[in-house]
Amino acid sequence: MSVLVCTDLNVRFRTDYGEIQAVRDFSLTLAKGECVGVVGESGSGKSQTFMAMLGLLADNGRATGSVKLDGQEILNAPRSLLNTVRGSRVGMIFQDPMSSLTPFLKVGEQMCEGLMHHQGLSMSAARARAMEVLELVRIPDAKRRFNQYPHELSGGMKQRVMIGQAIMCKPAVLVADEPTTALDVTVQAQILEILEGLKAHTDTAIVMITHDLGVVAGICDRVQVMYAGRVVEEGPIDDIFHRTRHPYTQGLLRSVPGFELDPTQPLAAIAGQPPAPDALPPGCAFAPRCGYVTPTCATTVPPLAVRPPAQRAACVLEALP
Amino acid sequence: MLSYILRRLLIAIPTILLIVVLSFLIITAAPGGPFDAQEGGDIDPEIIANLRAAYNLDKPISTQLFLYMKGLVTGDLGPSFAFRGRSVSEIIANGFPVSAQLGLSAIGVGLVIGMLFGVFAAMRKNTAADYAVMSLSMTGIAVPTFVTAPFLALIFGLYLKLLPIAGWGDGALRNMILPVTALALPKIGVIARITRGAMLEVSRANHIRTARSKGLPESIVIWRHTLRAALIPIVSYLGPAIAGVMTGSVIIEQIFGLPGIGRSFVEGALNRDYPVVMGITILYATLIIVLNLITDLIYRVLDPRIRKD
Amino acid sequence: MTGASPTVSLEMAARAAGRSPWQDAWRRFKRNRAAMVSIGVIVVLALSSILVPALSSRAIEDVHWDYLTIAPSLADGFWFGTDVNGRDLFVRTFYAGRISLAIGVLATGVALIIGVIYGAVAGYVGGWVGNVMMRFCDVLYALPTLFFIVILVTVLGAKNILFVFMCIGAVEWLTMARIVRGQTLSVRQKEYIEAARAIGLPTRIILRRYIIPNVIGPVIVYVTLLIPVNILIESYLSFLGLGVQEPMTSWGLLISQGAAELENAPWMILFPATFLTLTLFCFNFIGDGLRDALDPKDY
Repeated sequence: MSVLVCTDLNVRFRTDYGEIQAVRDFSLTLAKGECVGVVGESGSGKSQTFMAMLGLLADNGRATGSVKLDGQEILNAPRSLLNTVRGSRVGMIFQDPMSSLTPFLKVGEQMCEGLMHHQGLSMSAARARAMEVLELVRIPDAKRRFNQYPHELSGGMKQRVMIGQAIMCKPAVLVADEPTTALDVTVQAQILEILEGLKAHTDTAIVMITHDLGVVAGICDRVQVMYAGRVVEEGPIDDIFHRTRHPYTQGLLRSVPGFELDPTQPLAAIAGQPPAPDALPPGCAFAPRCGYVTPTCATTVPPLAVRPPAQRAACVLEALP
Repeated sequence: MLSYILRRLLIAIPTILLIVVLSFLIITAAPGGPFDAQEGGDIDPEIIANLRAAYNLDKPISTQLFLYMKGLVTGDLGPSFAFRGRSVSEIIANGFPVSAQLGLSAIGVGLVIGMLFGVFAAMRKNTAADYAVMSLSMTGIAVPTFVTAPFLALIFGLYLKLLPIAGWGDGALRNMILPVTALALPKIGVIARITRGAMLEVSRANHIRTARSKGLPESIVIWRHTLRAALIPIVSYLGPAIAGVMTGSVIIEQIFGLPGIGRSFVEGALNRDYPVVMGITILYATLIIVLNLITDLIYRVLDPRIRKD
Repeated sequence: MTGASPTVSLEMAARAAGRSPWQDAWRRFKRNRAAMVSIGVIVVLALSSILVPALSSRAIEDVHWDYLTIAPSLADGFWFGTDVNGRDLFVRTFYAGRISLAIGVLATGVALIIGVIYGAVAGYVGGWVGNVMMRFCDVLYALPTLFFIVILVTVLGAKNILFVFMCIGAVEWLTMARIVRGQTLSVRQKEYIEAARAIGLPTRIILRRYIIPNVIGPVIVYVTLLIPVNILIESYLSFLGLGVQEPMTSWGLLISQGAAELENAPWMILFPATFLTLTLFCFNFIGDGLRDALDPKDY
């Protein structure tokens, strides 16, 4: 049973220099309890995709398509409806825990206010749930932490609080937007462990937005790889890592230590830069950087071609036998 | 906290001393003395010499400064030159309550209306309502008080005969309305603009995105998560602004004939009544320093991050 | 204020093309209609303030005995009416504009020169010297601007516009110094300056290429906003009888004379007040426009 179904999501921004399309034809079906990784470089549109779903785009952003949560359309829904979804049925965690908590409110107040608002609970009832959650995200000395201000917590602690406040209402979906990027490596591992624990012990489906394939490998069931606003490859985790179809994914894997396709080869960066969003090449956006480029690539935008059982890749080479 | 306040007050003492010395030197360096006007007249030069001696003006500047400082410690700001028989302390004691009542009322009105305007405009950013409120604010800032004040007096005093156009009336509400309005209009404008800018600035912060992602209604996002951070620039503005209005709006007191110290200051300056000018300047400087301290204490309440010191 | 991740649009715009920040700023400024109109109005006002008194057949001090305190009238040729002394207010208002604008601009110039030099030295030298310099600024901040100017003006016995603008400028440079020092300091600590130092760029190139361009934006904005403040201060002084003296005149002086005759000759205050207000409006709009253009945030 899928909790979140997103079909043909497109996100555009009006800017001084005309319209820029940040996300193109993004589709995703998220099952209960599943963990999907969305991988891409910065600027690939991965964060904006989920911002758009929840109505958190900047003022100049517009989204089209369809996003259904438990069968209910939420894309571009009125704020009153979105506010019953956000924080209640969909929780979010952001990249920078340092600045993502309100500095002048106590940790406990921030954790409880969502639950109190969504479920009409009293402070003491919400506090009981917060204590539960603080244990779940492995914050020792929860009673003391509850009454502290964010600046009194370390970065890792703050990110745990962020996770905690996102799951206060037991959401059906948890969107984690680069949850480990701003943290030390050791702390990253702890945060991932907490998320893995959530996956194992709750029904919450997790979307893991990251640029780090290492993060994806540890926790995700499926992966979508985005490049220049478009999904270029998607499939079960094993297929993506071991039967990689798209040259961009191959490039990404080659550039991650520990995932080299051939361990004797040196790590390789992908040559060139991702295209500017208002100056995409007419054909495949990756063509200028691709080692397998063919003449067709410059003119055709390849569709996502199915490679059974469940893998799909958007590359002209897929059409070849 | 207490040690912080004490430390700040200790720093304040040399600042005030420096201001006293500085303004004393500027004033005494001026060509001509307070009794110059009479010198050309038919007053006996001996009388003038006696006057100068009585006010210690015949002594060297260093001695004058020393005597002045000595008086200052005991709260004695010296005698007024122009108003014989009145001390500067008396003049300030009479005028300051008037200026303070007037000024604080104006700041209060400005703060309440200005912040409401600012929050309203920020919530409706780039809409017609926003532009309307901001144009009004700009009008408040751009039209000088000495233009609004006479027009207010003309309309409500002379034509409609609703309110008195001059006089203090011991601070009666009727007498306060026009001067407070004239004084508050620019404050409303400035505070509305600061509030709007600060609200928009804060609304782009990551923690506001978090608050929205929690599905909190807009009212909670604004009043609980945004406004408190937005208060910081408003508080910064209020410190000096309060000191400014409490020591009297020179212009408004002049136009409405109010017995505040702003008027005493200008009269003092015109009559070369230095002790009055000095006294009011020192009062203002002290107020500024105290208010800056209060401002910093408020910052600590608003932002717990500053508290750890 | 609904957006939540607003950096994205600017980032994308910035990535979109290799335009210089100044071209970008000019583009944004041109789109600000209020600011563009304001520039036009200021230019027209400045030109007519120079030309009208020069071309008019009446001088500002001409007394028309048959036309004392007459209301504006096209038939008599007194478009703005006359004052109680029978002087033509049309010529006087424009002449006053010449004085008010000149004092506003010159006083700002004085403040600019003192403030930039002081702030740049304090920021560049840094260390305890810089700190002492800024402490001195803090002390001066504890003096009320208008009070300070009144003291200076009376002490210098200045009944002369040269003194008036010098005094205003001599007091109004504090904020300028702070801005320049703050910018210099903050830019000095930026990574790209460290990088420039690390690759051995000489100081003068670092100054010219990185520091000055960064300081110049806020300074331009502040200068534009300081001009109306100084025009206002001049008019306060003149209103109190401490500024421009007869037979010369300024908007503040005309307004003060008009305020005294408010009941029987409201036009006396109307025209100078309108012109003064319009000028203050326009400078504020231009300043706001420049700030939005040079420091784009999405409001």
